[in-house]
Amino acid sequence: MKILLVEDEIKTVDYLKRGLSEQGYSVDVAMDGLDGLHLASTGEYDAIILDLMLPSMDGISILQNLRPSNSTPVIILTAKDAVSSRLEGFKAGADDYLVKPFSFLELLARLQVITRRSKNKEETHIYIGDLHIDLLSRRATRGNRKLDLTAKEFALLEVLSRRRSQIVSKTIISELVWDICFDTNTNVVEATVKRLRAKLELDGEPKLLHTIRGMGYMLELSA
Amino acid sequence: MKMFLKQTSIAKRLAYTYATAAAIVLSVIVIGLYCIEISEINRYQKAELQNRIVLLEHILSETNNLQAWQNLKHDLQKITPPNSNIYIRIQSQDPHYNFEAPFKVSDKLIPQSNGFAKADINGKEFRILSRIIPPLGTRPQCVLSIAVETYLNETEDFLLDLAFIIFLVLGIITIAFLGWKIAKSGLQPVDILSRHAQELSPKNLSARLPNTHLPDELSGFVLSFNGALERLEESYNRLATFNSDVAHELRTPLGNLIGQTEVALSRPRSKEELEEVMHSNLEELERLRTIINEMLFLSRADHGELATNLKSASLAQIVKETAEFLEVILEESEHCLNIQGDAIAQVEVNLLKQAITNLITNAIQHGTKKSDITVTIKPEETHIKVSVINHGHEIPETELNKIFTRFYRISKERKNSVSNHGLGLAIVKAIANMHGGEVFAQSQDGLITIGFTIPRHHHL
Repeated sequence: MKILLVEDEIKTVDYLKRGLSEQGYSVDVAMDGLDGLHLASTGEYDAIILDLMLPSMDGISILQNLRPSNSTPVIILTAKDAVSSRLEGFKAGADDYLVKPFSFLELLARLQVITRRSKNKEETHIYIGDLHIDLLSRRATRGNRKLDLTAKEFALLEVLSRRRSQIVSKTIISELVWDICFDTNTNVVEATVKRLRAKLELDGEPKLLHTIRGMGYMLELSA
Repeated sequence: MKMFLKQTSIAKRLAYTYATAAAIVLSVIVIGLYCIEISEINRYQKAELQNRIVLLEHILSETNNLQAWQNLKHDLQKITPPNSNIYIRIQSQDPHYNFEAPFKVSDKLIPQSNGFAKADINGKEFRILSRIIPPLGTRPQCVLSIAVETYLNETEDFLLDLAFIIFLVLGIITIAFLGWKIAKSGLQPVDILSRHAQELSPKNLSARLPNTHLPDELSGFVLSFNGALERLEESYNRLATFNSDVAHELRTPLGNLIGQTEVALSRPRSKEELEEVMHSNLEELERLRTIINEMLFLSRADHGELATNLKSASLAQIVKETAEFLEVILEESEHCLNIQGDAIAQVEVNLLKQAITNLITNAIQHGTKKSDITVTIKPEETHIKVSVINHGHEIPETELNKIFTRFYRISKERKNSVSNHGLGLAIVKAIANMHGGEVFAQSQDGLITIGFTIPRHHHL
């Protein structure tokens, strides 16, 4: 999966490139607008991550030059958070919009959505160690033990298991489980995870649901 | 002219307006006077001619023979010396009975019938009155004409005109000058105000324009201007405290970050220890990010940004979905949530969910443990009232106004500030404002009611 990163801030480029490469993406970097436009229109990319404020040509102009002939999905990164600038971005043909400061996990999740990576196969049964999740009948068992989960607990388990071995942030969990798309300043996710964990991991059973401090949660057989 | 009027001072403007008005009024008066003067002069001249002709007519009509005629002619000669300004002429078929003095005039200039006429004689304008005198004795019928120079010859006419024009110009200038003076003195309070206004600056925010000894027209203006200053001062002060609060709020997590990182790097650490530091740093950074995002949101609302993605939605349904999200923490704190009433409103659902989340979280944090929390949705005439009611300690009236202020906390001690930045209710206010609504708070009989309104009909 090949990604073009158009961004002029060296530190941002640095960590994004490293982070994305470690996730298996191959990353090309353009540090000014004209380079970005050139690479975007000549190279074959699966997605473009585009900063708005760039030397020599701003992100919106790049996007306007690119569309409609080039339909590579574009995520815009910007420090401007006004509705008008967001609208401008979408009008110019952006597929998604992230406001700085954003979390890297958030960017990864959005990337997966726009590259349709996570939608490769519709799973109906997921097995993680001795945990079996039946997504059709919405039942989960661990070994021979049937898990008695509430609807929201099952939804949480589903979100985590579909992204097993990946860190899933609290923002994404709130959005996918409760359709809540804002910073809530509540510990709803923590509390629900705690309840799920209590039902999932009895004394002596191997740990499955891991808390990654400051980032989110991950479902995996061993840490 | 318009440009000119726009730029000049009010005093000058009034002076110009007065001058224009004066020019119009005075011109009308002057033209009127001029006409009256001319007709007066004409009337006077005609009367004079009439008086003279009556006398001559009487004498001539009694003259019945040549002898008497010679006497009359002699007398007439006497009263018309060569420099006389009266012209007399008597004409008849009989050449004996002809007289003309002091100069000769062509026949055709003299009318041969009763009445007035005007004629140019030797370059001067004359007014002529003629009478036909019937024959008597040997004297045939005569035409008696008497003429005087019209008083208004060209020079006199010109002088009269000049006098009127000078009068007109002087009048206009005087009125314009007086107008300017009057306006100047009338506008003096404005000058004083402007001097006071120049002294206003951020350094003395509490300064106001003086409101005593002012004309009625200005006191209203000063009152509203002072009101605007009041509001500016308030928001300026709010901004100033907000800025220092922001700096303070950011300082704690930043301090933690710097300190922890320095401690961690001050000696060799194991991988696990370093990881622990990074995780802890990440938590602090997340907190910073949330605070910054929320403050940006508030500042957008401050700049008058409105909710855009409006949809018709059932408010009870939104509250229900929010309550579902908060179910776990409601259960853990053993609160029971009731929803009463419903209404359909034009809202941005996400923002409304956030406002309700903040209100319910606030009720959980500050309300009596294990008590009921009630959300009521009440449609009123112009707006819909959404209230979150919980049991709790009475909040004094003075504190109630402040709970929507940023970083405000009722109890000064900061409990569990990780999940509460003191921005929750400020965000509720911002969301209400973005929908064209307001917030309210009441504390009565151990019940705390905090909520917001949404207009029933959204006009954007």
